[in-house]
Amino acid sequence: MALPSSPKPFLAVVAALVAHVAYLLAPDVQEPLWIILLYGVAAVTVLMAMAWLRGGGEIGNGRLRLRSVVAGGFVDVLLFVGAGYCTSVEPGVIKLGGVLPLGWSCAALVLIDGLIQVFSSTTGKVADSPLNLAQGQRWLVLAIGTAIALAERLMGEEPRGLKGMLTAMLFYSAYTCWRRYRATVQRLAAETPKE
Amino acid sequence: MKNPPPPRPWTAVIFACLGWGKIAETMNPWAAVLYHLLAGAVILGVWESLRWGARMKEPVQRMKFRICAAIAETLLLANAGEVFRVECQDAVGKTVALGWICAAVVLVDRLIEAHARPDSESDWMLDHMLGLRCTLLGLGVAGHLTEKLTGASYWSVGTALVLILGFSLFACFRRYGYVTGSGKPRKMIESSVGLDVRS
Repeated sequence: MALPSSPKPFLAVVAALVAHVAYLLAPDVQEPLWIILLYGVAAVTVLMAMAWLRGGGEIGNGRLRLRSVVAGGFVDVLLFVGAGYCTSVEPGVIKLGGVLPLGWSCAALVLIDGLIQVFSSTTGKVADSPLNLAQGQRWLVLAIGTAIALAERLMGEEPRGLKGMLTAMLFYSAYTCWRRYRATVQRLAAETPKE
Repeated sequence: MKNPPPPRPWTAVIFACLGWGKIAETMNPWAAVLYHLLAGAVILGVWESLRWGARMKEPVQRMKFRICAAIAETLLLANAGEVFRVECQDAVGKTVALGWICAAVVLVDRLIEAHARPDSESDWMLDHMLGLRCTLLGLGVAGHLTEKLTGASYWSVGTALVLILGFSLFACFRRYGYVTGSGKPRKMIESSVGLDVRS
């Protein structure tokens, strides 16, 4: 499939909205065909949103770049929050230790990571470490988690795969945030003239 | 005039980490007063630690301030969402989302704000959003305590969260307009453009 030449933020948000609705509806359906359809739609639209926002944060056109960054924020929230509610196990929210809603926590952390990346980009284009989790990689992990959740659902098991993916993403995103934060602080400090 | 004290961004995060989301669950009136005072102190501590940060010009300090403010506000709003859940007597826990929705909108607002230049002008309301949100949350906690002690409900954490959501959405649109140059007034646009976003 040929990737779009420039980012399409609006289409990405629409795709994320479709995925969000599919995630919310999926736990309530019982027919295997509908289960496959809804999980499939969720996984495919996650990948479509990823393709439509590809390279949005790196383009030179300032307005389109801002639009892509803001749309990326909304897409992150819609996808992770939707995935966080994609469980039929009470209380209907995937939580870490019964306290922390994983979807919302991942979404908040990803937005904070985006904020750090904006500050990082003000010092010019710098190659990101391969150890840092990029936006596209997060969505790819989410799509894989959704596919695992579909398999678990069809086998009548609890969505442990999706919970595991979200938990891993939460901790690895926190680690990525810390790495990017430290790198940006060091770079900014080096560029700031000493008085 | 005396110089303002330097902001202490990490102190704000430490304050915000003190979870106060369970204050609504206590039944003992004395314990309720104590917990609500603690929640008020947390909100006041966050605000006091961050209130002068918006004036920072030095890039590292400004970045630290903005990131810590984002983390602290997210934690405060998540805790407020938990109080709102108990206010609604929602055992399932879906109403806890109101706090998280507010946090997400605030984070998107901060994402847009990060694109503005440090020396850019802004309007009074956008400059004081942090204070406004903390004041509304403080009033929410005070209203919750009043309701707990007297049974009279004038103001709740839910009201505060709805207002915060409204103000933050408004701030998002307004700031987006300023940063991209499509907002008003014209004079402000000329000097408030950040990363050359008008091209």
